[in-house]
Amino acid sequence: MTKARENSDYTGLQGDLAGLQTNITAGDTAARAGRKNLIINGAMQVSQRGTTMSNSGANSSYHTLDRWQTHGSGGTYNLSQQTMTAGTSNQAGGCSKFARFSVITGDNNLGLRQCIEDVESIPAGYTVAVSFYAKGTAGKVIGTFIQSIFGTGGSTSMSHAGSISEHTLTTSWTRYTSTFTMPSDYLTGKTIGANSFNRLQFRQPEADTSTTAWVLDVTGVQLEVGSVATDFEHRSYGEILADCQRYFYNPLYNLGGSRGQFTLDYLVSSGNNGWITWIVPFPVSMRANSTFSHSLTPAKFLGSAAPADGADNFSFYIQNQGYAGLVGNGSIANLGGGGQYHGIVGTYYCSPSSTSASHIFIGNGCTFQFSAEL
Amino acid sequence: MENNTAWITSCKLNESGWQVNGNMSVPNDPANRDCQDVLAWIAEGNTPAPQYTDAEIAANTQAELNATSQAYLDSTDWYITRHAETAVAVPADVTTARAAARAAIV
Repeated sequence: MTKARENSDYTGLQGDLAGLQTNITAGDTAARAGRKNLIINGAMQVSQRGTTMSNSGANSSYHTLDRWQTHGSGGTYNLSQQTMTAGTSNQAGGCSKFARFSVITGDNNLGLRQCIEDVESIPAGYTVAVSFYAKGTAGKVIGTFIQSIFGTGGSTSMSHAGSISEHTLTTSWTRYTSTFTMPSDYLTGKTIGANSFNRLQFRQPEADTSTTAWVLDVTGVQLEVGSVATDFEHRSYGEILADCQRYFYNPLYNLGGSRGQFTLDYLVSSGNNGWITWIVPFPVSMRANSTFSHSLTPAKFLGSAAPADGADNFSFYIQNQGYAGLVGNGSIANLGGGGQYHGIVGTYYCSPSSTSASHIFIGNGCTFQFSAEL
Repeated sequence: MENNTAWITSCKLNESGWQVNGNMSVPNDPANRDCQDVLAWIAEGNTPAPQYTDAEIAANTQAELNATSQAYLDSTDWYITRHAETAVAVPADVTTARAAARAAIV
């Protein structure tokens, strides 16, 4: 009698354990509901470099969408940020923007990819799940692939062949998923230098040397630690913008006006010996000391006028007095600068003799940006 | 580490590192990916040009001013041709601007 009661209890306990396991699995999935995505800008929301880039064959380069790197590998491509037709984002996990990677001339290994800072961002021996929404050229096979790059002075890069997963595109939005367990020894004995990263790639497969054009529309990209691809993690535009600005900052992006306005910290002129300098506040600290790029030249100096919307030109301004029609001997084309916590830019011989200005206005059509990309 | 040097078409020293391709200021900081490319470019046997001298800056600026002024004159020559052929007056602001452009060219 006692024995029977014990067996019955045991059977019930088994049921309880099965239920508990279900709950643990669900809990584990729920626990990965926040800050789980190692990809930044997976929903293709932020595009500080503009929304369209045409006909490049550049390798390891950045265009339009933040954090997304392109690789020509002998082919050529366009890259643009696209907006879903209103009411259709439910076809792509609720993402209202997507990347259109349009290949003009194909080649193997050509593709779109993202570098995830710090090669140790994926622990050795851990399983990761890759998921994304895509459509494109019907029947085109694209591969996802993970590489580990050990940084400056670091060990030789590793391509994780086991991470390769191939997916056949259709003309309708489809969610694709794959999982991969990072080798348990991929970090063992390695030297890790500055600028190390893991890189997720969407590419024309290694064995596919076709030069035929193809198109990949992709969004909702997620790379997470775990054996199950969970729902795409939606984050606010502001959060993602800040994440992106650690790597790239364009002060003229989405200004809400036609021009950036910067207070000159110093402008000195005496004959030919003039110079200017000013600080550009960064919204977040950048990953490293940044590269500063601009498009300003003396020919783009507007004189006594304000830069119009979309204009690639600039003006000097004097507080309460208007635009300073400065002319002189200098060249703003020599403007240099950079920084990690804030930007400092300046140049020698920019200003004319015997003059002053309190501000510089830079049209939002100019290039004026700081990059600390991987 | 992967380095790509194909994008570097010119390189001059500047105060913080290098002035690359004319309008890109690359810091001499190993954590910067562009710095790594410049260092690889130097390792390939290339040598950055010296920093701009005062004379070079003045000469470059005048050359740009000459080109801009000449382009303006070229774009408004039709006013002069029209005046010669049809006696339609050249607008005063164009006449003034052309005079300034001619004066700027050295």
